[in-house]
Amino acid sequence: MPAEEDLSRLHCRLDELLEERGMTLTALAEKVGVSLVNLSVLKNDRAKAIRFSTLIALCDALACQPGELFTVDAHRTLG
Amino acid sequence: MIDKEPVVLTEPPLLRRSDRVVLRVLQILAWVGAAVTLVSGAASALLPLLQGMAAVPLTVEASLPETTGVIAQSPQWLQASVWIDGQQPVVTALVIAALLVRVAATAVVLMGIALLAGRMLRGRAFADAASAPLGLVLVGVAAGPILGDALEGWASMLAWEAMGTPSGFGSVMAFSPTAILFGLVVVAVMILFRVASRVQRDADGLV
Repeated sequence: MPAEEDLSRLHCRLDELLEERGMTLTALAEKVGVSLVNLSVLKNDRAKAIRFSTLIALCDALACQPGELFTVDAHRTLG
Repeated sequence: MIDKEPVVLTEPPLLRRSDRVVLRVLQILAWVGAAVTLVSGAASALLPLLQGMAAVPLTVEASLPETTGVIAQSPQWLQASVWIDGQQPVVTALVIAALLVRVAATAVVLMGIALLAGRMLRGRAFADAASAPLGLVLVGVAAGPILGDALEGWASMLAWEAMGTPSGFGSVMAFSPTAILFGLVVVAVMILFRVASRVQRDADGLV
C-alpha cells in the first residue's frame, strides 16, 4: 500500500478532458450527480480514493476510459 | 448523455442541524452542571471544615417489630450518619476527602461530556482527540466513586474503632459494582470511537 504522500503521484486529468470537450466543471457536476466540491477535490488531485460508481459516471459523462482520466507519475528518487 | 439516473455521491454533513442543537444543549448543560456541582460541593465541605467535625457513616443494627407468626428474622443493618463526640481530625479529614472526591468525580464527568460535545461540534465527530474527554469520563465514573467509597469506609472503620467497637454498630465498607459497570461501558464507547475514527479517516478524501 502506498504511503499517504505518494498519493500526489496520481494526477487526475479532469481539467484536460473537460477542456477537450468544452465542458465546465459545473456542467459535469450536474451531469454526473457529484457535488462541485467533490469534483474540485478530484480535479486538484486532493482526492484520496474514488468510488467505482463515481468513476463510471465520470467516464460515461466524458465518454472516456478510466485510463484516460488518471496518470501516475514515475517514481521520484531522493538525491 | 447519461441514460442512467445520476449517482448522488455527495456525503451529507456528518452533523445535522438537529445534532448540532442537541450537542450544544448538552455542552451547556454539562458546563453549568459542573459549575453547580463544584460550588455546591465546596459549600458542603465548608461546614464540616469550619466545625472541625463531620457526620461519619456507620451501620446500625435495627430491630424489627415482633409479630406473631415470625419464627426467626435475620438482623437488619441500616446506614446512618453519626456525629461522634471527640472525633479524630483524621476521620473528619477522610469524610471531607471522600465528599470532595465524589464532587470532583461528578464535575470531571460533566466536564468530559462538555469537552467531548465541543470537539464534536468543532468538526470530526470521531477524532482521536476524543479519547482525552472520554478518559476524563472514565476516571469520573469509575475511579471517583471507588476512591470515595474507600475513603468513607476507612473513616467509618477508624470512627467505629475509636468508639470502642460497640455492638449494634458497624463500619461501612461500601463497594459499588455499578462504578465498575459504568467504567466498562465507557471503555466500550472509547473502543467504538477509535474504530469509528479509523472508518472516518478511510472515508476522508473519498469522492
